[in-house]
Amino acid sequence: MQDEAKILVIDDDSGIGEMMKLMLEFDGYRVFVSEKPGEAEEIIMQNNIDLVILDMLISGVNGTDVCRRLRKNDTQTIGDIPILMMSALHDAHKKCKLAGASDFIAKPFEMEQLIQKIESLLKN
Amino acid sequence: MIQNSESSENNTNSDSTVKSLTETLVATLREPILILDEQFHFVNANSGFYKTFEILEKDLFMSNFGQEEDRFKQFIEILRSRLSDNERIENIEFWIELPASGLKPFLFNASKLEGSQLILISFKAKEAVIDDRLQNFNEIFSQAPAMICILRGPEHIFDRANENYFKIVGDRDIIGKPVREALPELEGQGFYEMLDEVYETGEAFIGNEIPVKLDNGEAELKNAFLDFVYQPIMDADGEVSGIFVHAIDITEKVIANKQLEENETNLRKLIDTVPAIIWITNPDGQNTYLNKNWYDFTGQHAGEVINFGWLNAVHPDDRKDAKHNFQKANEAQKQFQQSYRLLNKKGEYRWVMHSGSPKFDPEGNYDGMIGIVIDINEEKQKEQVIREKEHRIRSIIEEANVATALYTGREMKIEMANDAMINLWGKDHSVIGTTLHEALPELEGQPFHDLLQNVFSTGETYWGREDAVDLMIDGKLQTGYFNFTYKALRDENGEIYGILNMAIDVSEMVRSKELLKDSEARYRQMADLMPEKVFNISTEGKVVYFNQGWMDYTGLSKAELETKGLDDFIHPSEKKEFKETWQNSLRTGRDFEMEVRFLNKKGRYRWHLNRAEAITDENGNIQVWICTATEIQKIKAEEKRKEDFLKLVSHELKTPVTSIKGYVQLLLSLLKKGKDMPLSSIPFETSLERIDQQVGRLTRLISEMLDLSRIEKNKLVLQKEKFSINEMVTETIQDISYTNNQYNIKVIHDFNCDIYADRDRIGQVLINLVTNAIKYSPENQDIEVKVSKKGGNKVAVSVIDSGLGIDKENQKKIFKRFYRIDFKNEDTYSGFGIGLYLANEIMKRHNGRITVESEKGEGSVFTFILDVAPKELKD
Repeated sequence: MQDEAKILVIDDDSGIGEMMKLMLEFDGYRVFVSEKPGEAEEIIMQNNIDLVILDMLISGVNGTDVCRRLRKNDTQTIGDIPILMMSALHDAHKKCKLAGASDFIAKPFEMEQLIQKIESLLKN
Repeated sequence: MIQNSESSENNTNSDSTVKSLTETLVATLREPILILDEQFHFVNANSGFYKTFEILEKDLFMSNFGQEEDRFKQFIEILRSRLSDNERIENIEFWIELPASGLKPFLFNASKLEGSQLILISFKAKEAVIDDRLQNFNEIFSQAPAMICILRGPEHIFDRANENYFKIVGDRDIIGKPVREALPELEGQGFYEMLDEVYETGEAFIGNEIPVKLDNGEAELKNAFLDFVYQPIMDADGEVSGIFVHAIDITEKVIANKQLEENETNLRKLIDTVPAIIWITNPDGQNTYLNKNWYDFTGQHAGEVINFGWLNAVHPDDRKDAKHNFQKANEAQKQFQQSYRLLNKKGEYRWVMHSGSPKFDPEGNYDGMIGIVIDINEEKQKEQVIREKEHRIRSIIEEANVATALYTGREMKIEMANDAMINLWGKDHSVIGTTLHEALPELEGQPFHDLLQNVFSTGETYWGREDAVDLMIDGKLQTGYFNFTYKALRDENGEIYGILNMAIDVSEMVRSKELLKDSEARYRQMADLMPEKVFNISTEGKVVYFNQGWMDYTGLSKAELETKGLDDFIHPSEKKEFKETWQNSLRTGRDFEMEVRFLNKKGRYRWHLNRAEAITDENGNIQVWICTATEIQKIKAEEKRKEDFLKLVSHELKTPVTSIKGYVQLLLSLLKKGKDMPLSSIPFETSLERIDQQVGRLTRLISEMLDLSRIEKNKLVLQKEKFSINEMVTETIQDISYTNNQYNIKVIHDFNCDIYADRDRIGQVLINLVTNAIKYSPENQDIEVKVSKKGGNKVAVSVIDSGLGIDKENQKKIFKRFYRIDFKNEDTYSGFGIGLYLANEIMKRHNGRITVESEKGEGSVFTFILDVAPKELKD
C-alpha cells in the first residue's frame, strides 16, 4: 500500500463522494471529491493526483466523455493517469473500457473489491 | 372387229363391227371434232372441223396448233386455263375469225381422254341473232342457201334463178334460154326427161342424192349430188305454165360421208397408237373392239376376248368384281371406273385402271360403252406405300394417350379418332365416318367450326390454350378445358386435305387454378383490409405481391413497388442482416422474423416487425412466402423508454444503496479493527446520518414509483379537502429548509386563499419543484417560492431559482414520463426524473396545470396553477 496516494473522486451525487472520501481516508489515501467534471484536469495538476475514480452518470455530462477527454490530454500526468470508472449499470463495463478507462467497478460495490482495484492500479 | 396386227383371222363379224364402229364415230363426228395432244399439238380433226373453220388438213398436220393458227389463240387460251385432268368442260364460248364469214361465235366441249395424253374437243356454231326479221322475199330468194330457179313453157326457158343457182352452173348466161340450150351438159343425165314429164303430167318430182355433172366453167364437169324438187307452176286455168326448181347441193355431205369412212380408218390407226388400251362394247356388253395395245399387253389374240374372254387376263381374285362392275355400269348406262390386276404377257399382274363411258347413237339410243384401260401399277404401288404409312400413323394415333382425331375435307369428316379422343368427346365409335358437325352438334355456336375452316383455308396451325369447350357428355352439356392443336394436313402436292386435332384435357388444372384464383382474390382482399403491410415473396426471394398497406405507407403504386422491390425501403443498418436472414429462411424453409426499419413516404424510417411463413403444397414444396410487417415504432419507443426507465430506476436505487453499503462496510471494517482503535474515532454519527438520509431518499423513490404505477393504472386516489394553500406552502418549505440548511428559501405570499385538493399530493408537487431547484442550482443558494393570484379565480405557486436553467427544446419534454435521459446519448444524465411527470399528472387530476419558464444558464421558474376553492365549500 502506498501511503499518501492521492485520489480524485468525481460523482455528482454528494452522498457517494462523501462516503468514498471517508472510506478511502480510513484506508490511508488522500481523497479529493468533485461534483464537476470540468474541474478534473485542474485538480489533477494542482494536487498531483495519482488516480481518478469517475462515475459514469454525471448530471449533464457523460462520464465516458470525461474519460476520453482526460486520455486525450497532452500532459502525460493527465493522459496516462489510471482511471477507475464506476456505474450503477453493470453492463457499462465495455463502454468504459472503450472510452479508455483503466478499470471498472459496478455500484454498489464491496469495499474490499474497491480497495483491491485501487491498489492494483496504483502498483502499475 | 377391225383388222389389226394381232388378228390374222378374218372375222365373220368384221364387216358389221366396222359398220358399227363407223356409225359410232359418225355419230360422234357429225359436229366439228378436233384432237390435240396435251401440249396442244394438232393430232387429228374431222371434215366438219376443216369445213367449219375454213382450214385445210395439210395446214394443220403436225403443227403446234395454238401458235401456228393465230385465229385459234383465244380458243387455246381458254382451253389451257379451263381444262383439267378429270373434268369435262362444256359449252365454252369463243370467237374466231373465219376467212369467208368473218368473226363468229362458237361453243365447244373438251375433255381429256382418260389414260391418254389426248384432248378431244367438239364444236358447234353459236346461233347468231337475226337482227332484222323482216327480210323480203327477194332477199330470201336470192340469199336462200338452196339453188332456186323458175322455168317457163314446154321448152323450160329460164325465167329467174338465184345466186346459188348461178354459182352451180358457173355463172353462165342462162336467163331466157331453154334448159337444153343453157345447160347442154345435162344431155343423157335424165334431167330433161324429168322436166318434160313434170310439165306434161303436172306432178312434182323429188330427187334425193341425185348425181349430176355440171359445167361450172372449169375444164372438167363438176360432179355434184343434189336433193331437188321439180314443182309444176299452174296458171290461172290450171294448166302447167312452168316449173319451180328447188335444189340443195349435198355434194359435200356425200363426200364427207365417204371421207368419214377413210377417217374412221385413220382414227383406228390413231387409236392404235394411243398408249392406252381402248375398248368398245355393244349394248349387250359384248366386246366389239379392242385396240392393239390390249393384245400387246395381255398377249391375248382377238378370238380370246369375245364373250368376256378378256376377263381371263384379269387376276382371279379381281375377276368377279371386274365383271360385276362393268355389267352394272352397262345396265345403268353410266360411267364407271375400277381397278384390278391384269396379267401381262410376261406373266406378271399389274394394276390397271379400267374406265368407260356410255355412248349413244344419233337417235339417242344406248349403243354400248367406250373406254380405256391404263397401267397404274406404279401409282398403285406408291399408293400402297402411302397406305402403309397411313396405317402406321393410324396405329400410332390409335395407341397414343393423347386424344387425336383426323378430319378430312371442308366438311370435316372424322376420318379417324382414337379412343382417348372419343372418350374426351363422350361419344362412341359410331362417330367415325360422320362429319364433326354430325358427331358433335353441341359445337354449333362455339368457335371451333370457324377455327377449323380457317385452318383449312390458311394452313396456319391453331393452338388452343385452356379453351373452354362445351360437350354433351352423358346427356349433359359439360364444360371442359383443353389444350389442343388444329394442324393442317397436306397431300404430296401441298394441298390441304384435312386437319389433325390433338387435345389434352386440362379441366382439372384450370378448375384448381380458378379455385386458387378465387382464394387468392379473397386473400388479397383480406390483405388489403389489414392495416399491416402484407407481401408475398416467391421461392426465388422476389416480392410478387404488395397489399394496400404498403401502398399507403410508401405512397407508391403496386406496379412501382413491384419493380422497385423492398430493398430501397430497408434502413441501411438492417439491410445486410435482413438479406442474410431471408437467404437463410429461403434455404431452410424456416419461419422468418426480424425487426427492420422501413422508409415511409415522408422519408422517415419506422420500426417494423417482419414475419414470414412459407406456404407449401401437399408435397411440402414451398409455393410462396406470406409476409407481414407490423409497425412497432411506438412499441419500440415505449420499450426503449421502459428500458431506459429501468436503467434510471436501477441507477437511482443503487446510488443510495451504494452510499449506505459504503458506510455500513466502513463501520464494520473499523469495528473489526476496533481493538487497536478507540470507538470515539469511529465516525458513527456522520455515517448513520448519511445512512438515514439515503434511506429517506430510497423511501421517496419507492413511493414515487408506486405513484407512477398507480397513475399508469389510473388508480391514483385523491383525498380532497379544503385547506389554505399559504399554510401548506409555509409548512412544506420549513421542512425542506430543515434538511437543506445551506439554501436560503424565501416564501412570498402575494395572495391568500383556500384550495380544494389532496393536501399531501400538492405538497408532494411543491417538494418536487423545490428539490429540483436545489439540485439544479449548485452555485446559487437563493430560491424563492411565491403564492400569487392568477386570472379571475386561480392561484399560482411559483418556484424560482437562478440555477442552470433549461433550454427551450427540453422544456417541452420534461413533464413526459421517463424523460430523464437524453435519447441522443443514453449515458447522459439530463437531470429530470419522474418527479415532474408525477407533478404534472397530479396537477391534471386537480384540473390544474404546471408551467415552466426558463433559459439555459438563467435559472428557471416552475409554476403550478390551481382553482381557488369556492367560498361556500365547507372544510
